Amino acid sequence: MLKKILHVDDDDDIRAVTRLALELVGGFTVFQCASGQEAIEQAESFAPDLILLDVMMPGLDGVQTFHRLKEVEALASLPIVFATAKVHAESVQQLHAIGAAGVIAKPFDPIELSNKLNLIWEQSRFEIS
Amino acid sequence: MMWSTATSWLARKSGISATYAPRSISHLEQRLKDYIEGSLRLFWHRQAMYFGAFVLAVSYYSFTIGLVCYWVILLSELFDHWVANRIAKWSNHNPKSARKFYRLIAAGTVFNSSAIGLFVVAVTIKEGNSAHFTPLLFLFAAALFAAMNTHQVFQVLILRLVIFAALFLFVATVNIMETRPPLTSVHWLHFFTVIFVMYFIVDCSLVFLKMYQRNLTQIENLRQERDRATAAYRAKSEFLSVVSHELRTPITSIKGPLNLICGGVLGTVTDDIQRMLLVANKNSNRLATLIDDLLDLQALDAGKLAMNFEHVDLSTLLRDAIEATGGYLRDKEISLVEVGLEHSIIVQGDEKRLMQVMANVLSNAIKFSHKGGVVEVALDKVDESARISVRDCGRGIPEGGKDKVFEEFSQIDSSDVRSAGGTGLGMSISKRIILRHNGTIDYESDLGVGTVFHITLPFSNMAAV
Repeated sequence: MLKKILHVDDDDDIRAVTRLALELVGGFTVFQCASGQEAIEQAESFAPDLILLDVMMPGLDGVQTFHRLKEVEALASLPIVFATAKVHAESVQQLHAIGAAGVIAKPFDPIELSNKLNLIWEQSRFEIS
Repeated sequence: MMWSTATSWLARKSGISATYAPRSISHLEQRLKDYIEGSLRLFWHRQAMYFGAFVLAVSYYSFTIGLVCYWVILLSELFDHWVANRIAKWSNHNPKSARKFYRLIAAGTVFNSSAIGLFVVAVTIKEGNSAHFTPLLFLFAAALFAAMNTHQVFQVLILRLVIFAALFLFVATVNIMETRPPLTSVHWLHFFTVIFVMYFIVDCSLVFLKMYQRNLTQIENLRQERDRATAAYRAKSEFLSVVSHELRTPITSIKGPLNLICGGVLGTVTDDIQRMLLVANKNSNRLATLIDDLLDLQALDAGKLAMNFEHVDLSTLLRDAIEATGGYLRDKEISLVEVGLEHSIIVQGDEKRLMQVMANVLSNAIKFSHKGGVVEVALDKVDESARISVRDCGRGIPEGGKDKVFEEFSQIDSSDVRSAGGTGLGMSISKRIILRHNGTIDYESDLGVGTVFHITLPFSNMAAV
């Protein structure tokens, strides 16, 4: 079962809303980072089941962070889901093409978010097995 | 040096531009390319004229004169053709090459004009003491041809006309030099007539040259205008795209908490608070829809809205669209009549985008119908297309509203935006989506009775499967 989620987003408000949504609606344990760099440093010790990653961030952006996370052996097979305001079919396809487990469009409904992440997580497990 | 000073002076006097370094290399290149384009296009034209002159020379003067002059002219033509072909293949936009080609064209011009000169002088000498009707008219024809067809490069035209002027003067004065006639003789009359004709030719050349230059300027202006329009369009697209993306982040932070509170996740609130939160929630949804619409419109305009064409059963699509508006129908107590939805009609289209169009047309029909009214959704085949008709019982669209209905940010009455909701982009997007399907969207309206929107989708798209 999906239990631990690492959420990476530079926006304080979105982190607050997402934390409430994932904890209260989904009952997940949530760990949050405000930058890609922080996520790379802390992801391994937190050992999440899934990572929810913002695309547009200052410093390391979502895609760069994604590649760096995938380089870490312990995290390589972990499903990473992007949250993005760039919902152009082209941009979404690009994210899928680099190996994203899923793409969540912003603005998202926090009540449905947990369900969506659960679905993506199950799908990725099915794909791996 | 003297040559370029002289031509510049002449150009200034005549009010035309003839600098060796025009405003841009593309301008200079354009002149050279236009020059050789004319030269290549009229190649056979010129050969026919030379051959005609050759036949006349052989028949009426001497075989030797005809043959020698013809061969020299053909050689000069070969040289010109070689230069023209080199310029036609030239694409490095190098000013050095441009100057080299200028010199080659000038050399070709001197060669070709001298060849014509050889013919004129030979015939004049052969004629002896006469009016020299034939060589003068040949020269006139050659000069007029040059004025009409080789005016693109000013210096080259002047070079040719100077050589022709020298020839004119030679032919006109050869009898005067030999016989020294009085000023009242016919030889002097011929001389003055030649001067008059020379003036006429120069005048003609300047008219053609000015016309050509005006065209060049106009083309340049058009090009600049197009560049400006393209840049403005790109800036608008980018602006819209950035703004839309930047709006999505704060909206996530507004919608998120509202969804959580309205959804009861954070506990119960009083009815009044709940009512106010629902208002805020509804409007944040409206804002989110507006941003989606703006992005769609921008993608459609830029031709970037990806379409995923597949078989679509329109009756299923319509039933799904009707079901999706269920809540809205109930709110306004509107009864919905389905006509012809029991038979499936398959077209080729993007199901998601067609659904977007149907949702928009249906919600408009419900929005503008009075409470308790009837909305009819019909599906049938007309000619080679499937036709969807959605009839409402609203107040109708006044005449002349057609452009407005499909225009961006437009509702017939701007107060509609507040009273009836909507972003004013839905119909504009729908029209673009239907056009991408090679279909049509239109309406008929009776004021006070209602409006029926027709959408047709051609079966011919099936061929693309």
